[in-house]
Amino acid sequence: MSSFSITFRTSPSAQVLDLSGELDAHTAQDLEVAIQTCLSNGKFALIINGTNLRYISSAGLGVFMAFVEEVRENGGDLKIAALQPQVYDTFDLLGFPHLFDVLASVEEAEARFISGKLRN
Amino acid sequence: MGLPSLNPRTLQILLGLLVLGFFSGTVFYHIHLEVWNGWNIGWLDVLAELGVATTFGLAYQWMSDHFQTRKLGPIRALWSLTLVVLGVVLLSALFGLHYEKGMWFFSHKIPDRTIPGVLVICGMALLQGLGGAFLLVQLRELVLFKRTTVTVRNWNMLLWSLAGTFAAVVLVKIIPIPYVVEFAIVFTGATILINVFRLSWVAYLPFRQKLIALAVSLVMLVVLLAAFGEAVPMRKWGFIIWEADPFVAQYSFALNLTLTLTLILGILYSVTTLLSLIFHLPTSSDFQRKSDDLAAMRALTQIVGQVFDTQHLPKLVLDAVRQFVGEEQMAWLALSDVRTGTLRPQVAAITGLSEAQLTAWLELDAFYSELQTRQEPLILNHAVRDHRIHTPGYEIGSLAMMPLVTRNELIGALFVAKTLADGFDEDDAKSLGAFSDQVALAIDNARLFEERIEKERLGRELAIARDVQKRLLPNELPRIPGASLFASYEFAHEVGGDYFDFVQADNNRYSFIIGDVSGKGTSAAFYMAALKGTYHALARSDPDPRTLLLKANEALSVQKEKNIFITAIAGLLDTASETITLLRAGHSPAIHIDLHGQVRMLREGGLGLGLANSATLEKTFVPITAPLRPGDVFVLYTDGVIESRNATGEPYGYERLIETLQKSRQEDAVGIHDALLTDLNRFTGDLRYFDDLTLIVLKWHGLSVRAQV
Repeated sequence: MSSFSITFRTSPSAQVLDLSGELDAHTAQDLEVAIQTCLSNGKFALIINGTNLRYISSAGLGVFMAFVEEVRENGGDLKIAALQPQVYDTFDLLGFPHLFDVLASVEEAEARFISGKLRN
Repeated sequence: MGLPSLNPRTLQILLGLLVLGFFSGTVFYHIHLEVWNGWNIGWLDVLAELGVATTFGLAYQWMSDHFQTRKLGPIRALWSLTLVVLGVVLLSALFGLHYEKGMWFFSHKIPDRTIPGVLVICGMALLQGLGGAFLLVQLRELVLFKRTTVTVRNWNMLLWSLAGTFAAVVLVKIIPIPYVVEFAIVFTGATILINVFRLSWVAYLPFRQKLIALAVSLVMLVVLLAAFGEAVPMRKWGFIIWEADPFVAQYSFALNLTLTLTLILGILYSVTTLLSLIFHLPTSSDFQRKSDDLAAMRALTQIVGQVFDTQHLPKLVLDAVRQFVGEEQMAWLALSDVRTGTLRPQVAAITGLSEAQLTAWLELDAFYSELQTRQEPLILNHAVRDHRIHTPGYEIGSLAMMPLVTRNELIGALFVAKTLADGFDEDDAKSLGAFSDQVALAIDNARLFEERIEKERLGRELAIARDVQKRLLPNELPRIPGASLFASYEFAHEVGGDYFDFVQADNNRYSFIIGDVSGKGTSAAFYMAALKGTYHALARSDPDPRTLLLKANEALSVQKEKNIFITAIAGLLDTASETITLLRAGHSPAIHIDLHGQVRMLREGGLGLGLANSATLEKTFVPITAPLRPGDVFVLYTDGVIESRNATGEPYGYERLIETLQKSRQEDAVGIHDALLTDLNRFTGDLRYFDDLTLIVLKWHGLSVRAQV
């Protein structure tokens, strides 16, 4: 069984979701619930912190796709930060950097929110 | 007392006829004796008595059979026998029978020793005899309310001793043995005493019915006494009914004696019935409660058997609980849901108070944690004193908390609250405990049932998806001059959506595509079908990879779930120009190896399909065009190959794939493909496939060489 957990942090500019473990078809639901909670609480500026995320599958990637529109329609964004190399590789192969802001650190992502830039 | 098994109706008619027959025989005998002054020979007399015995014995049997299947129930039995005996008593009154004054029919005196006279006597005897038989049959229903071998044996003993008494009287007529009759009477008396204490039907009556039975048995006693003839007041009023006895004795003393004994049985039974009813009245509410408990238990057991709906079950459970504790009391059912992971129980159904009151008045978390540790019922009979209860007044006097445990797991709790303190005694606790065990079972069953249905549904979905998938994949591979080609796919148990296809666009150009849907199940299969549809519609006419993928993206974007996307590589092989073009859209990069072992991952490329509109997608496209040289091998695959894990959870990875490819590159497509799969299987061992995998190997041999394809 894959292990996966999410913790929440609130920074002045955004809500940070720290992911750790493996995000696959089994655990994708947990991420869905977590993001949905943020949206229900009116938090549309989200940063996904992948420092401790070891693996991501297409099901995991699909979760981001499911919410990105709604988040942006409400003036926020879903930024992805601090991905481990193999996870970034998966993102990159799929072409996600074309759709999402993928940054090297959480701080950079926060800075983007503050400066109001959505995507380059 | 069994008889050979004939058709019941025929048997009854037969018996009836026999009774009439024998009776007529005895009447004839008496007429012969009294009117015609016939011989009074001893043995003829005995024969007559036997005739009487047969008559009434059969009459009893006839009635017994009739009522065997048409039981009246205790109260109707009491009523009916009272009425019948009363009827006999009153009918006898029609004929003013006074031993000294003789027979009178109103104002007409019926002279002795005439046919009318004999007929009256015989008629009286028949009436009394039939009445007596009826009395016996109804008493039997009451005495044998609880049929056991012992009670039946005792009743049969009574019948035999009555018959024995009859026989004794007849015997003495022939052989005057002293005390035989007296002994028979005493013996019968003893069997009567054994039988009059069989009153099991009394306890089962509800309170009201006990009162009715009390009244009826009182009347019954009076009527039976009247029949017996000790009613002095009746004599005062000039009723001389009971003096029918001496006349019946004329017809048959044996019969008269037997009937008297039967009456004694009846009288004693009414006495014991009366006393028993009086003593049972105060305890009927307790008995009623026990019987209500059982009824409620049965209702709940039925629920266990029939309801598999987890939505409605909690409410049904509370309905059953209210039946048991009373409609006005409070109860609620809290369940934890393993599926959503809520270990802290949530209120699934509540009655008698609102959820707001519940949260305000009780520290539920404290109770839940105590439940978790104890896993045993908790009864607070002085709830007001408990620090976890904060009612504004005395709304909750006592609280019972029953854990619901199944398969050693606590799945929730059933709470019952009463306004009265000390509301739950030991019996209540036991009953509630038994209830809650059943509730736990019912809920567990319902959940298991739903899980099972879900599994079956998923199983069916998977089967459909696999079926669709198999139909999408090509049956055969095109023969490409100058190249060898081999492809295979393997479906995992968790159906995803892999797809590949080859189409010959024209004489020189061969189009191909490989794709992987991100989702699983039937939805994935449908999107794959959409992709195939688009591909086949275009590939022959416009095999340009760019066009194909853009059109595919459009087809997907129309109606799609947001979190599903497709990765693909579309390619075009041109044998005329000896070039290959590959366009990667989010897919695992194709691998190229040349004659010398030089490996290149064709990573350039863009976004997957179904993620953005076609304008955005097109901007990310990076088509790769390369000349084909002899020895070139192109491997296309889905990520199931790279991600296959071995026993220690290590994925196969690119390195191993490349290594094997280098080692086997001299072979043709089939050989290389075989080598790759063998190495993969060796790595993963016996493990089953976790994801679909597709592997395509394309090798260019070169046209000038005219290699065997």
